[in-house]
Amino acid sequence: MISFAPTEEQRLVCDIAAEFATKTLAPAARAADESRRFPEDLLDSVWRFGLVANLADDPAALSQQPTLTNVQALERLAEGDAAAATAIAGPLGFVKALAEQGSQRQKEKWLSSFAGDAFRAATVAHCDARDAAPASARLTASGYEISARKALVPFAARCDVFLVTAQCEGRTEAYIIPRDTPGVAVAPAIPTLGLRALEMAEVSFGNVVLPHNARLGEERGCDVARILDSARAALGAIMTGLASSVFKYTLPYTQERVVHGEPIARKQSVAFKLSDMHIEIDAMRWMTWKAADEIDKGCSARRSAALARRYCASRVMTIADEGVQMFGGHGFVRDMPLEMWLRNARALSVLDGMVGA
Amino acid sequence: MIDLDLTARDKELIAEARAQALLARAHARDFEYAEDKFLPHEYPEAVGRPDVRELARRHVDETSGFKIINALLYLEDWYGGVPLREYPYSLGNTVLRIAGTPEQEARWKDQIIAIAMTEPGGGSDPASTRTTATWDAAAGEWVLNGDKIFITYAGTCDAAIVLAHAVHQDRKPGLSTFLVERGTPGFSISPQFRKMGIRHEDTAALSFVDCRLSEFHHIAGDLKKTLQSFSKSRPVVACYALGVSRAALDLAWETLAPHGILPEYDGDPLRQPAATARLMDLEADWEATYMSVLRAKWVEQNEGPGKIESSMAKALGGRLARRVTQTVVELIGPAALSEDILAEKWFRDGRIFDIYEGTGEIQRLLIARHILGYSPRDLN
Repeated sequence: MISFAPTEEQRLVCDIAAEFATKTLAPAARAADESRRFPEDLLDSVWRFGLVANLADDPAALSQQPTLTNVQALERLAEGDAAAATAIAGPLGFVKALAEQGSQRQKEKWLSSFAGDAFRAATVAHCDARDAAPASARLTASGYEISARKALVPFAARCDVFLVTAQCEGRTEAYIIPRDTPGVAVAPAIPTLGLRALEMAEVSFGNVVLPHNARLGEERGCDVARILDSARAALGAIMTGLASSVFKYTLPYTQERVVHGEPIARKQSVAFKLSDMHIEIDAMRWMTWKAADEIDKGCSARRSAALARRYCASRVMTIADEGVQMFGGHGFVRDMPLEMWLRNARALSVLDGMVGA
Repeated sequence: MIDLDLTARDKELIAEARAQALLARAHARDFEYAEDKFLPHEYPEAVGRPDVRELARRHVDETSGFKIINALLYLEDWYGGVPLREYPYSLGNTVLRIAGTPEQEARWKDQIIAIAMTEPGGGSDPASTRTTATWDAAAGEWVLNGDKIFITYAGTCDAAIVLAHAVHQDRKPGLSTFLVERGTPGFSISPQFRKMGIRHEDTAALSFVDCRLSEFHHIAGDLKKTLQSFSKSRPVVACYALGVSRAALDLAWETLAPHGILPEYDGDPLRQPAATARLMDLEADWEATYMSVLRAKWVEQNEGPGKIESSMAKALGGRLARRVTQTVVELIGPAALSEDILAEKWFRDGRIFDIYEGTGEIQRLLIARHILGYSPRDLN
């Protein structure tokens, strides 16, 4: 039965996330972008917000912290800083996939290390056609041999473990690959257009030999589509939050900025763009919620998640771009956040996978 | 708790409505060269099929709420091209409910009441209304004079609620509404407008020459109350747009499938055909509109009509139908120009939704004023 009413608990989580985003994340975003690094205590404070640690601590928390809660929280965090929200959504994707689809042994082995108070990186690497080499896994007598390369993995050098999706005998599966496995190589981080503080780097998996139990879910295997759907819902939420920050920052400015004797907000060419931002940000949110709701109900979110990501990616670009335009020269200089938001919007909207909700 | 899944009953009703919409396809072109004909109350194919609105009312507790399910049933009506069973959505009835006294409502509630707002040169600016209702103190009657155009249900309505300047020696002048029954001397209805599309919709002009009305016919509505009815209807118009757009998209996928154009959720972005990518973008726009309509109707159901949510849904719907129907004709190509298939009909029908019940520009104006806290004087 259709309802758009979040639970009391979700409202509370959103309020806390929003306050944290305003007080802590937003003020730190520019310095992190310039230095291409988050201060360690900032990452730890994002971690202590609890989205990942709660799930890692108690896999039963999955039902109390559904995808719908996670996407609402990620949206609010991204309103403060989309890069920080992406930083937490990486390990969230990994932990969620493990908690939902890992074997008992896999959960015991990996989850407890994510239950602490300090930030820990992990990534779901879903290689698509734009990656240098298609990911492939080959069955061997002792397990699997995997080859893959994934560009722009957030915090690649800090990840202790990767979840890599690859084709094996016609089926896509996910494999847990510890960082110290022979054949895993992390390239130096390269400065990027946006999300600069994420220390993104290429990870290559060259003929990595894995035991049978490295496959997520072990003999049961796993539902890789669900992992990708969750990534898309997370990206949708982060892009909604980013678009929302542009809108909220731009709206008052257009009422203060006087051109030819009146505020630019009183001109239809500007006011209508603000209307479109408002319309589209809402639609982005509802589409993301729809995908999250389907994921939580365990039905296929293939269409809803793919279309949410697609719509959000296209709209966040337009919204961030118009945000820069409304500020004119001030939108272009680096003492205001508009140009950073535009770069972050482009970065987020070309990503697929690597996060989760 | 957030739940974006329809109930089992919702789904059952929608499936039945879809089946009826496909039966209605046999009549989708009945009006292309017969614009003076009116929709039958029901087509013969409806016989023996349940009335989905009646079912929705009977089982309303098992639905997501009547407002939501009813809007989604309109989507299905438009999927068919014409409704198999006519279920008039006339704003005059809504205005009567909002502004009429219980006695007035009791007298006219079972009639189809058109809303007469737009005038030659009026349209998006109802404040410029020139129609007048002048109080004749000697006779104790109102005298109505003026012209209205583009009036839906003009030809078939039992009565019209007319927006006019009320001129009364003892009262403050202002816009008000008057109910004029069919057959009132001086009330005449023009022939049907010749339109690009939606030729099954009854659209004509109304003229009032010294129409004499009793005080009982004065529905004490002002412009605000009249416009309030739009908050309910605008998401419904967005549903019309969703129905036509769904039909056009389904036709495009079906026609292009033999050429390898299929929905792709994980396609290789470098090798995906341009046609696939463009249709996927339109699918995303469709979902965005659908969710906004659900949201607007959910708000209405829980908090009363949401003016802004309604405008948001309508703005998306109007733009969606233009983009989808125009792109679908382009992608199908020359075959889509032919009246053998429905693409060209969707193209012609789909254009109205960004115009009637407030153009896309009017919706954006209302939304902008709301988010900026501006009055009509601040932003127009």
